[in-house]
Amino acid sequence: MGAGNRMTSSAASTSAGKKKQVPPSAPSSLPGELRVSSTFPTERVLAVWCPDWPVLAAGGEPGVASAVIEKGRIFVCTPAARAAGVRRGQRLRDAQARCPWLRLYPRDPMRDNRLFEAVVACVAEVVADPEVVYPGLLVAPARGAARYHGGELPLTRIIIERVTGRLGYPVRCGISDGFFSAVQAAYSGRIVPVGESAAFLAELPVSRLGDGGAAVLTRLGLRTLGDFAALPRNVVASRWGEQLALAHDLASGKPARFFPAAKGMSAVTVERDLDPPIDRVDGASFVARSLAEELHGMLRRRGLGCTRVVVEARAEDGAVRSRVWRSVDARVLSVAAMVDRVRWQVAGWLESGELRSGLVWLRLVADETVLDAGRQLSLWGERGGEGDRRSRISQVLSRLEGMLGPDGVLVGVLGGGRDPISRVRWLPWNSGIEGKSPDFADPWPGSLPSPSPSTVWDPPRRAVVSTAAGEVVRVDGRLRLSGSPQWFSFEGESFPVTAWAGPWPFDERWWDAGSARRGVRLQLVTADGMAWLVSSRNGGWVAEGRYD
Amino acid sequence: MFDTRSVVPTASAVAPLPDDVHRGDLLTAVSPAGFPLSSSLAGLFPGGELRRGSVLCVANSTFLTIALLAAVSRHGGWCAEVGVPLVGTAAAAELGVELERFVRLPRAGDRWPEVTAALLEGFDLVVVHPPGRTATTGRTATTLRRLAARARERSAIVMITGEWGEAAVRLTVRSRWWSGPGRGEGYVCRGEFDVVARGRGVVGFTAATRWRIAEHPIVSNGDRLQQAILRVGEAS
Repeated sequence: MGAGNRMTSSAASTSAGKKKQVPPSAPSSLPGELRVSSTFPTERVLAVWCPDWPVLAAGGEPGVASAVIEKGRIFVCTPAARAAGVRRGQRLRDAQARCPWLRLYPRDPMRDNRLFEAVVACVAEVVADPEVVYPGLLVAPARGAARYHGGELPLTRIIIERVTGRLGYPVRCGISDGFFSAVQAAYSGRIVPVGESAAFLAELPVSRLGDGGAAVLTRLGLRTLGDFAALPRNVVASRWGEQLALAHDLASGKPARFFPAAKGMSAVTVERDLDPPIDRVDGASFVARSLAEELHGMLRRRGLGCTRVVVEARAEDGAVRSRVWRSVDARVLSVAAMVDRVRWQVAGWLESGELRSGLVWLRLVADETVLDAGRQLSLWGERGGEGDRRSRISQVLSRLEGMLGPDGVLVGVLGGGRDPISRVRWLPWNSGIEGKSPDFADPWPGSLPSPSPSTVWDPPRRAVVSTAAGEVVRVDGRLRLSGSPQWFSFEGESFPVTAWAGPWPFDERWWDAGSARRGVRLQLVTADGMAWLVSSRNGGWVAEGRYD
Repeated sequence: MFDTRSVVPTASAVAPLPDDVHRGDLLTAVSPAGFPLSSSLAGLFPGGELRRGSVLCVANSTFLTIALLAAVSRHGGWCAEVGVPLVGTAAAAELGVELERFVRLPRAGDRWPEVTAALLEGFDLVVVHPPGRTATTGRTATTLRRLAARARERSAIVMITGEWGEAAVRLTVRSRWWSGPGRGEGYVCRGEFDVVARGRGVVGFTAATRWRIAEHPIVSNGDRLQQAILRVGEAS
């Protein structure tokens, strides 16, 4: 979700999970050397689901056998109709044969959304920032609201009371870790305790993955999400590609690899001033479609897909409305999905009287983007373009990820830090990070001046810095040197030191006994013209880098 | 205490403006056949550019490796690195490598030939650190020849850190000097490298140059561009 401060990392659990997936044949030349940052967000998510929403929106009642039809088939039906043998996707004639008294309504997504606005508004009084997945289902961060209302169970009770009491619609709530799991929990009206989402999901049938691979898995005899999650991710990724690998992440209860809009990463935005103002639904639909297509085109040219889009509108009287739509199953919003959502939203505002005057301004913001590699290749054009390039590279890298394990393909990102090792964070490729790394020009007092060493050893390697008399240079409690460095020994070779700079003291992470480090750094120039970066450690010295 | 960017450097540490690493590239257009190099390195390569479809080797200098990575990266190219030790990430960023287009595969181990071959399908430049101090003879040489053929076919560049007699251009740093530090004061801020290039070809060629690295003000890319433009303006 949008804000980074809602993101908590579960370093221990995620990295432990990743370690297991490294195939045994992978050379362990770097065990634990590169610490892959576990920045996948895990968060408590509330999902609110109105069962059979299109029927309710059309005016049907749960106790009466009624159904919404689309193209001659049953789209959704009520429990009473199900009891009589009516099923989703059934042909209308068959349904009527089983249940002659079935009340029928035509499908109308605009109406579904217009009436769902009231539910969203009702939920928004209890939790901040609800995001609509489709009319009938919304998600929201649960942590803050649950704390305020005295727990997750009271929170769901309050929402059910409000929606049912005020609006009269039946509703189910679910809370779990991550979007996918929360939505599954809402379908069965459960609260899944922290950390148990994997166990909860394992029992569910693979059909819950929707069209994202359920058919393939069923043919293979995999019936539950647990069966699917038991396969190694590498195997899934190399056999079926990135799409099913994402489904695998969902099934195993991993939070999808969303990255919230990080610092320095700009959201993709399109906006339009509307003159004359638009107050009719058909006109609004037209503008919504062209804006959504424009946004999608901009994303595609950058090789991005979007999992969350914000629709904002301003009316003539100055009233401003905004609504967030998101995709919960890690799939990016296709152009059709985006067009639909924007149209429904704009029409919903106009028809429900939320906005009383015409629209004068409309804006779409794709504020949660992921590298959309190889998922949305356009049929024409774009060959050789940056998007095509990214997708080719992504195909290559997913294959290599399958071969070398998830930690095998990394991207280094520079953050704050004083020395060349702590400045670098390693992220798995495809962690969704996009755009510039955080601005490393931010002042970081005591950081090494550039140029930085070209070779960096992580972890540092043993070395000896000694005085002319051959004694190891010591660092006292005030971080002063016992003598001037004259000799530098490294990997069996000794070099006379011709010049040196420092000592530069560091005292880092003193609040954490495990990782606290205190000492000094030196830069040495040896007689062969090479420069080195060394630091004191446990009474001795280590080489951190070489300027070679 | 040692955020020296705000401190006036000592006399020995006064560095001239960075060499033409930035300036040269702004003035040269990218040709489809290769990536243009800054003028001090251009002399080392036939045609003055990093030619696509070729194999290079850099024997003993990581900074040189990074400078060539930067030449590709700053023109929008995608780079990958196979094996260890990985080049310094901070140094790479400072010399102009775009980190989000620079993918690292430290765990390739003995499978480096397959990994490199796969990477050549999409990347412009693949830096390979063959594991151990493998003599580039026998099987390794055969492998490298296969990779060279694939690089030619894919119009990508393979850069091997080590020696390989059959590379199109072999770079070696004959000597280097770092200056800046004294007896405790100053800091490592300026390096000079004597680089020798040996080429293969009908006649073969040899070239040498003095290549300098100086302290760069750490700036974001936009600023860097602007500074470079300013500098070009001053020069003309």
